[in-house]
Amino acid sequence: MQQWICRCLLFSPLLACGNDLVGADYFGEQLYSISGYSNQVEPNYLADLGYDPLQVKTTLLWAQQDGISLDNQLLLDTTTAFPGFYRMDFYHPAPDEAFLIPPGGTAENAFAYAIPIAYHDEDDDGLLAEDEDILGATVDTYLLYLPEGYETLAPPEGGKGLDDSFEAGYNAVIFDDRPCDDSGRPLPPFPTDPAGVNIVISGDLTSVLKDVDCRDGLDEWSLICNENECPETTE
Amino acid sequence: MIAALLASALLSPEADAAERRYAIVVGNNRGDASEQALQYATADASRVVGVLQSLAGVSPADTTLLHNPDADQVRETIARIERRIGADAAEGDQSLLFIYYSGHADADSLHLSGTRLPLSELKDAVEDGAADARLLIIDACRAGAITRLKGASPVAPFEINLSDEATVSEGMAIITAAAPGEDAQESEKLQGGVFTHHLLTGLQGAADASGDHVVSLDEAFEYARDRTILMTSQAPVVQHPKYKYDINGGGDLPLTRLDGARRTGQLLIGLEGEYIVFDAKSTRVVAEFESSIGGIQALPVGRYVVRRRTPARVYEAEVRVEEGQATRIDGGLLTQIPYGQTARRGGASARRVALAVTAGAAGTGALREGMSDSLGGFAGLRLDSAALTADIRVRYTAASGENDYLSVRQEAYAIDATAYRLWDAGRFAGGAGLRVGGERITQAFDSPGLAPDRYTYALHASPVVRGEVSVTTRVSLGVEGGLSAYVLPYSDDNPSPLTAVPYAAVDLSVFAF
Repeated sequence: MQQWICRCLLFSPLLACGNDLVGADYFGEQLYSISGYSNQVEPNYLADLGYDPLQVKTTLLWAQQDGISLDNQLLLDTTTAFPGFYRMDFYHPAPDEAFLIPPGGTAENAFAYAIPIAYHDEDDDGLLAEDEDILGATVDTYLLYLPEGYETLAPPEGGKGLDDSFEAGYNAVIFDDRPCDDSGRPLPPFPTDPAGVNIVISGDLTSVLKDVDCRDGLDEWSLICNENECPETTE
Repeated sequence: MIAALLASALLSPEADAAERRYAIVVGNNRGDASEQALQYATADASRVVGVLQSLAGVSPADTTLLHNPDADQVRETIARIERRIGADAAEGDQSLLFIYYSGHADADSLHLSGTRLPLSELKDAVEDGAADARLLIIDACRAGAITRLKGASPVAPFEINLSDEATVSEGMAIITAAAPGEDAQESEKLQGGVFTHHLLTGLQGAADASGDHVVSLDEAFEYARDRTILMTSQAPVVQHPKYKYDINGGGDLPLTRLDGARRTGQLLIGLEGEYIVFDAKSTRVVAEFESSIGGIQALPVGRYVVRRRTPARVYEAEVRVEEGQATRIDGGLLTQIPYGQTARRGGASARRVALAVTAGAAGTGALREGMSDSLGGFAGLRLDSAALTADIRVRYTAASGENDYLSVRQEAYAIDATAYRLWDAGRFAGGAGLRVGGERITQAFDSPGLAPDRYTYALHASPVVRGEVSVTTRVSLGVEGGLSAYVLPYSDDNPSPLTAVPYAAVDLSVFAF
């Protein structure tokens, strides 16, 4: 505001004033951004499993009530090299379909969370398809979207919340152990943390995609665990 | 007595053929080496010959036309003609000698292709001549205030003293195109000397104030003088023609006879107004007159454009004047010129401006990459005058753009002011000018994210090329285009404040008056 007022005073009426006009390359104001490094645990880990490292891409998966959703993926630059840095810029709030209400909670407790993953993009379209394999994910960091801020994210009765406070909007949440504990705290916005939000392809997806219903599979996963539903850690 | 005799000779074709008229007509575009060449002196001389031969009873055999002669050629010509006049006089015949000169001069001499002919020598030669009546007409120009200098050197202007105290010898009349100290002028519009143009127009009938179909010396001079003063009154220096004579019978000496002239016809007008007659081929102004004189009694055969002006309107007709026939200009023949053209053509008696309401559609190129062209409409007022056409418009345009994240609608509210010059060609007109303006541009976004509205105050300027056609006298349809340079706020993404985009518009102008 102050900048363009100065311009107006300096150049008016000979020059224009106001906001710079934008073109179709304008996506809106950037709401949040995360970036990090996507790599494999060993140099030939993917090749040994028969994957082509050149086809490894990153995307963001939103959790939905009935499991991981392939909808509303974040389309990234598909030319990103692997191993290499990735960057995800957010211009929209979390998609409506991604908002979750914890058991026993209300709409005021709604939240959305997502996880950056690496996958084998066989069709090279930059989006994860059902027949494409997830290869890895961020180890201990998730993306949390809160419409109204932490105070409205009251844990359901009998459930566990998060110990720290969170701003409304996007937050990167880092856990000391695993998603289903209460150690989650806000991650300083990148690039404050030089390490970024790294994606590691290790094959141990259960360490990051927590099966919260204690049954086989990874269809249900959550940051906020209901102790009644998930009374103890199941490996 | 002499005038009476000459009048008798002129007015009675069947009279004694021994009464003769001679003409020495000199046109010299080239004066001294230091003087800028004139454009129309020789053309003036040729036109004078045409009128003298067709209307003034001077036969081709008795006419000597000299284009760009030197002083010796003029001396020899005068001497040769004087010998012939002397021979006529020896046989008792009456004679009249016209000497006309158009070219450079100063206070002492005529400038003739690098040579000088002293005025005193010329005057003496004429005064001592054998002709019973001798008429010396000098349209000698040192400078032309309407168009350009006709003589570049800062010399004393051409001057023959025709003050009240001055005298001329018996039987002699001298007419000068300008008073002492004044500069006679050429006109681009008339394609000739101002005084000569009006003198010839008068001799062709416009000066026939008495309506007797004979233009006398007085009538011709008064007509030419009045119109020369009127026309040059718009120039920095007013030109006052002078006239002095000592001829028996005074200024009644008949110069041209309008009835039965060879190779001429009448151009008669029946509607009030101010008339200008152009040669249709060369577009040279042939005559200017008011309706009170009824028309031109003896116009050379040919095709003409007749333009009639009233205070509010201008009409035109193209006619052909046939030998010995009267061509009458009436309302059915005249076509009204569209209001805008009327004002653009100017004229003392015409309405100076024409006001129109204008509206149309306009479009500009995309101001930012990925945006659509801006399309919209405008409305405004337009003013046409002889000097310029100007308009002021209020314009609205809109553009849009979209990507995977949002869609944007861009709207602009602008005020444009344009000044341009139009040249008319029949119903069509074309021209160019400059448009400047300012506008408020807003961008509103449709996005689930955060994309606040943006607004900009921008200036723009554009060279404009315009063409239009008059659909009716009140309505014209125009199209224009240009390249608009916008001054916009800049940023890291758009580091230059200047953006150039094409501009185009179509419009309809309805003239209120």
